[in-house]
Amino acid sequence: MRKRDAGAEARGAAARPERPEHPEHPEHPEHPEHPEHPEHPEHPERPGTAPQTAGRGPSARSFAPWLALAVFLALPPFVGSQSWLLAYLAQTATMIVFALSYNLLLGETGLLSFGHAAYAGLGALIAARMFNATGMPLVLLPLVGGMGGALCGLLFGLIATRRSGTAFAMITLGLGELVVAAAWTLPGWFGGEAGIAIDRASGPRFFGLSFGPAREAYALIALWCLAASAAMFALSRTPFMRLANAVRDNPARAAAIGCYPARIRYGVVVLSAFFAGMAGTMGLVNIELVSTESVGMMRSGAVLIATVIGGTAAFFGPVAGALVLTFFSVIVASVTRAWLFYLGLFFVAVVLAAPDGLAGFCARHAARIAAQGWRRRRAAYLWSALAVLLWSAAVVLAVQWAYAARFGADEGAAGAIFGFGANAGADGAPLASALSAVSWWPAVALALLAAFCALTTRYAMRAHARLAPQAGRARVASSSGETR
Amino acid sequence: MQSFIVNLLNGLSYGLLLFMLSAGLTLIFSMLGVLNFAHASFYMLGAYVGFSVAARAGFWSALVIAPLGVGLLGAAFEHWLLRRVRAHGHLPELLLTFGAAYLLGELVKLGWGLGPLSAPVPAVLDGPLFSLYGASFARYRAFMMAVSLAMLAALVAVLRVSRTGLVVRAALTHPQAVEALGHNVPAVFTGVFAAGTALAALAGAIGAPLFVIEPAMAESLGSIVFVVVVIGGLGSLSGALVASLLVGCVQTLAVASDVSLGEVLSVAGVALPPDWDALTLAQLAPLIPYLLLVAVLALRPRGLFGRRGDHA
Amino acid sequence: MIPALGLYNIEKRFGATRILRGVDLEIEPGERHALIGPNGAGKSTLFNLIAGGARPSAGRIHLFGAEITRLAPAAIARRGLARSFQSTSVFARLSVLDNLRCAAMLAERDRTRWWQRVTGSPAIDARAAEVLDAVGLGARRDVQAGTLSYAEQRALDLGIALAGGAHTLLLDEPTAGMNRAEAARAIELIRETTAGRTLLMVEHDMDAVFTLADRISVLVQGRIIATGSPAAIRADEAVRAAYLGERT
Repeated sequence: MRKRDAGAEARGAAARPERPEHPEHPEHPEHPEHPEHPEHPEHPERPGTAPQTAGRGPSARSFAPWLALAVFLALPPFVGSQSWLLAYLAQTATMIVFALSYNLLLGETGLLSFGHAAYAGLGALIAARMFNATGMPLVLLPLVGGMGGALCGLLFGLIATRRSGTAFAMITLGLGELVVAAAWTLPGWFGGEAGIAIDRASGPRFFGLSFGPAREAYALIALWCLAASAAMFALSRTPFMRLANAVRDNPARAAAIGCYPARIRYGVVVLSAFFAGMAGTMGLVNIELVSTESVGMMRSGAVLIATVIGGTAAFFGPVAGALVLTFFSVIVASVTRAWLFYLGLFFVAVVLAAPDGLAGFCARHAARIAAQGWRRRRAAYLWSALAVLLWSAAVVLAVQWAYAARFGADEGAAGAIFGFGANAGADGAPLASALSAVSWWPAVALALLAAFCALTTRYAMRAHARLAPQAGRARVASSSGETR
Repeated sequence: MQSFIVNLLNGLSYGLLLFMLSAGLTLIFSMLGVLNFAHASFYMLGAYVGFSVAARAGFWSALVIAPLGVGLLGAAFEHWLLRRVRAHGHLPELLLTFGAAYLLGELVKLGWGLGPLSAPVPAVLDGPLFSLYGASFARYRAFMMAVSLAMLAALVAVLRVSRTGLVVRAALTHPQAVEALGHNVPAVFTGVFAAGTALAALAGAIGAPLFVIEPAMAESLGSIVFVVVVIGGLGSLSGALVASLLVGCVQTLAVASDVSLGEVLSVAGVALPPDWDALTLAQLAPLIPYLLLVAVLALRPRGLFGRRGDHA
Repeated sequence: MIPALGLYNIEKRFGATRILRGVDLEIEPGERHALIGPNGAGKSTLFNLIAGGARPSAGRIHLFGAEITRLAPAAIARRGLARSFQSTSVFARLSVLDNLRCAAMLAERDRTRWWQRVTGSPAIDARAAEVLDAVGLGARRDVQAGTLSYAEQRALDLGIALAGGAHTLLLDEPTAGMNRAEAARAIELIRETTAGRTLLMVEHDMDAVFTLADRISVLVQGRIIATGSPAAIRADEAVRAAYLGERT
């Protein structure tokens, strides 16, 4: 997960004196759920090692995440190929490629895009039409989708890359909405409301495989996922990406060394659109349909959320984010309709507490554990974990209660638990009156939970506060040897 | 021709409503440096809250209570949440407002259900203001325009003439210097954010009787507002005004027209397949703001009134 | 001989305020020229104009005879003019070596070989390593640039300007914020690494100016009031009046 640390530590540790961690804000408890104040994500706290440059060999450690990904994707043959598992893994594999392509824009070049699904959907559309028109082998379809996406990137990028920063984000929003509106309005193009369907098995056989059965389609998707991820990884090591990083870090300086920032951004947009088109086509192979939903704002928002939750600084961050997102959108969604609310809450929590995402969070704490030792930090982490658990329980209870009040029997089992009949809350009726007509035990449970939450949070904050001066001491001790 | 004037006035009223939204957004952007992605959600919240208040206490109380309530919520959001991530830069702030937009959308569904609601127009404002050769201009729309213009005047007065406005304008570019002079800059930030969201809520409460109140209203209008501020030039109030009026008028006129795409393009001598020809401008109306965006950006990347330094 | 850098009647207005009121200057190739003057004289503005960050309200700028007045910063950089920045400007999240490799990649002979941006190039790497050692940051090659100390960042800033192989360098207050020892080291570094190149430097540190510069220009209130050798400038009455307020 940490492409920046892999290998460099082994090389550097012997060659140079102990390097103190970058000065951080003292850990002071502010928000009960998140006792630590995170540092500025631009200067994350870790020994100041940097991305591996081309030419350095990979270490065993850097293979671990790839192995984990491969094992994850290869689950079905071992666990049993149930359809829900295949569907979930296929969606995850698609989202992984989608999020990695998004991170080429956000993490590497600093470009926030609100319309990324346009490339995915349009690429899938082009692939679907090609497949239906020419009967090409399904195996190559993601490539076609990729090229379709890249074509759209060439087109849209001309408009979008004229500006950067916030303006770029709003332009991508506008372009994304344009594509959505056009998909709904223009006849025949997106196949209207029904979308454009393909039949996987109608293509030529590939070594006896027709790709009709979900198993075979999934195998194709999983392999393309690995291939696309590897390709994007290789891309992220190239000098071109370093230029993109430079444009992200300091566009004025980049211009001053002879680099045209707009051109670099354009190049990245096209590359990102290529892989997004690939992801869209993988989705097409999965559900055999491309519709207006494929370009919709929901998908654009989803990939943004996935990438931010996972973390933009590490290569495997978006992979983790994709896993989290499909966890919410597939698994949690099958249980309750409040999944989008939970996802929103989780997203806000991540942005507040760990703007560098889950990957950054793990990297930071791994560094702290390495510096201070596991034993000392153990208590603080246990208290924090307990507090988070209790807060989550309270939130889930409250949210499910509210949703049950509003949507009654539609919530299924959850509604019944809270004692709601069919559609207890009519549309327009305020929530409070619906809630009041209900059993009292959720309120009592919530009150108890809230009390426990407050208690554990206090302990967690105290434990972290105790650690902070120790962290400062460790830093002073190691920096005393350095001359300035 | 007769309906053209009425349609134009309708377009202006819609444009001024857009301006109410984009003005608040531009203020917040100029002050805090972050584009409030949840702005349209506050607009939606204002509409819903206004609906509920109006159902109990009447339309006029709703016009006062909804903006106040939502403004307070906005202030709380800025004070406790937005400020926390400010240290990390503009991107986390924008992402936070993005997450807030999602959450507000879900909360609204939770609070008022999924279905559309319709707010009634108060009796005194119901009916036509005047009729022009058979087409009538609604009184309510005139009321909307009046409120928007009054708000614009108040904004100009506060910003240009009053002391508070002076402090706000100074804090736009030199917050530390203003703070060193003893002004409470964080409070100013909160105040501006609250004012922006209150404006959005007012727009929501006022616009509610004209448009359907539903959970999707934030997304559809939100995108248009963001496009409007980019067309006008990020950070420019006059640009926001011009762009709002432009988008409002063009879109309204398109919706009201019967002209088909084929007719329009035949002027240029371009022929299209029959099902494209039959598309009316009214059907294409949803695309218009975005097509305008592309056109303006292609010709003038910084927007109509944007400053040169903005584009890299 | 064509001057390396020629400024002809440069004017710059911000609204009603005139910052630069007709600056004329010609710098010979290989010359080390220092620009000094009181704060607010317009030195940084002038630098910004030369490097393309802003456009002059009037006047022309020539680089080896070719007009560069209205070119974009990247275009000017590609013609061989490099600059360092007053508030240090490095690529914070890249390693020190990567900072230099980015600059080296855009040097003239490698710019057009776009495939090197995908495959990498040993020649570019070697050149970056050379500059790395020249500015004395060899031990920090894989460190994130944002975590370097201030003096190291200024050295890196200089290195980035050099790695692109520019023939003309604009250095904006290269010893700002340094103590005597650091400033002396920085000046030595500049002297060694910029041998044979044309140098225009804004400086407040008079020691640095008088040791390094071949010629000095004094910018006061948007106008150059004196140009000449260090000794001549030291003795000049107008300069003394401007700096020390002496009445003559």
